[in-house]
Amino acid sequence: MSMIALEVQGCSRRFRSRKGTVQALQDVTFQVPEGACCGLLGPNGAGKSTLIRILANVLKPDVGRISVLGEPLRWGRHAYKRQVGFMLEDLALMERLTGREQLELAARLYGLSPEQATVTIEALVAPFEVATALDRWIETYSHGMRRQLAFLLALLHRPRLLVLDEPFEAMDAQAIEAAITLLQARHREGATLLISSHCLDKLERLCDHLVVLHRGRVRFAGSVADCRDHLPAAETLEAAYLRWLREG
Amino acid sequence: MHSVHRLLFRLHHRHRYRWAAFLAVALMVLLLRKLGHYAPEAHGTLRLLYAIGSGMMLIAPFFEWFVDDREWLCYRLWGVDLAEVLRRKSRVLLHQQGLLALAVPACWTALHPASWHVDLLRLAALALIALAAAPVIGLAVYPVVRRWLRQTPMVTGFIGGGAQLLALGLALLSYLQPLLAPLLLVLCRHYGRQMFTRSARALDQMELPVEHP
Repeated sequence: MSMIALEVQGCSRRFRSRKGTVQALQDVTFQVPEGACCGLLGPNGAGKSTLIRILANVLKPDVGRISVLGEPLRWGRHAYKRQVGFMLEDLALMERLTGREQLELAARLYGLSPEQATVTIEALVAPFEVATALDRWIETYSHGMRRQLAFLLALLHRPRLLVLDEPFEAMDAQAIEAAITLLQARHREGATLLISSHCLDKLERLCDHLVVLHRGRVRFAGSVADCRDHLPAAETLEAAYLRWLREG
Repeated sequence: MHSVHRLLFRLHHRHRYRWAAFLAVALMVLLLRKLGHYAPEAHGTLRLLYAIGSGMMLIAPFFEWFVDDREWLCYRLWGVDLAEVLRRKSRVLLHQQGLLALAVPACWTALHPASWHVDLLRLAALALIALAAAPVIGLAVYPVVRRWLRQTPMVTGFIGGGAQLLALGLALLSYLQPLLAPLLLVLCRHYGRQMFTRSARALDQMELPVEHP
């Protein structure tokens, strides 16, 4: 029986402001088996980024239970992130460091030795455009380069679980290809992946599981094979997704 | 490959532009010297003004442990022990401000050679106490200041300013009576140890500020 890498049960989150209340997530429940590559799909405002921030324990759910790699998530506890790589919509970058210094700082704080850190950083950045700008301050980076760096930071410590929010956004075609190759390699090595994206074609290449969110609720959660089995003949995943959204 | 200390030092050094603080100390001492030239009887007051100005410069950086939300988010996403990061940052800030603290008595005695024997001990005591008290008071108010920072800048200024004045009061006390310096150092060291854990816990409990979706 396969282990569950990520389990979300009855998770809800509401945002209140002067303008009103928004129910960002409502009773979200799904599981991601260990070693799976799961795509998180949904239109803008579906709650994908909120869910990922909650998984990263930087946002509190109003109700619900979450367990990551078999351990229940507790508010204020962050040690589990030594085994999880996160890339959030809010990029965690230190503008006044160079790209290389930021990677070095993360590597050293993760406990990598100087030699390990150097080898890992060189190997990771090589296929990406950001490799040519590693000695420049991050504040001079383009949006695409920042996203490349944030993506690489999530992979630096070889996490068992990778949770990525829109990893391909603002990346050029070459960087997207390099990122997909890297993710496929990590997946083959046994890492579990949860990737939120609007790029269904990329997710189809990578993922064996899907979670579809719409207006804060789970519309579908299961394997891609299951999903295809339930589609009418000759309907593609993309066509089905668009149909779900229209019906939703 | 750089050490964590050096990387954090660079992060702060680039943000704060230390050279500007050194320049400010030198300019201040020149200005006070000029004033002292025209009003020699006011030398004691000028010395006090210098102590207040340089004390503020020594203390201020200790109220901004993680300069922005992005730095806090980095540590949160990497899952590192925040108390340990605060301890490392404390050493980095002490290293950085220590250099400035050396310049404080050096500038004054270089430009006021006649009174060096009176000033050196007092300014050294001021620098020591400012550096010992600033991390403790800075850590004590930092999580609160940070929370208010996103609410009302005026309240932040009030809390931060109040804490700075408190730290400054301690520093001035040491300036007026250097014998108190060792006692204050021991007190700061005693309370400082608990502060790292307490502040880290408060920062661990913080939510990421999210724009209304």
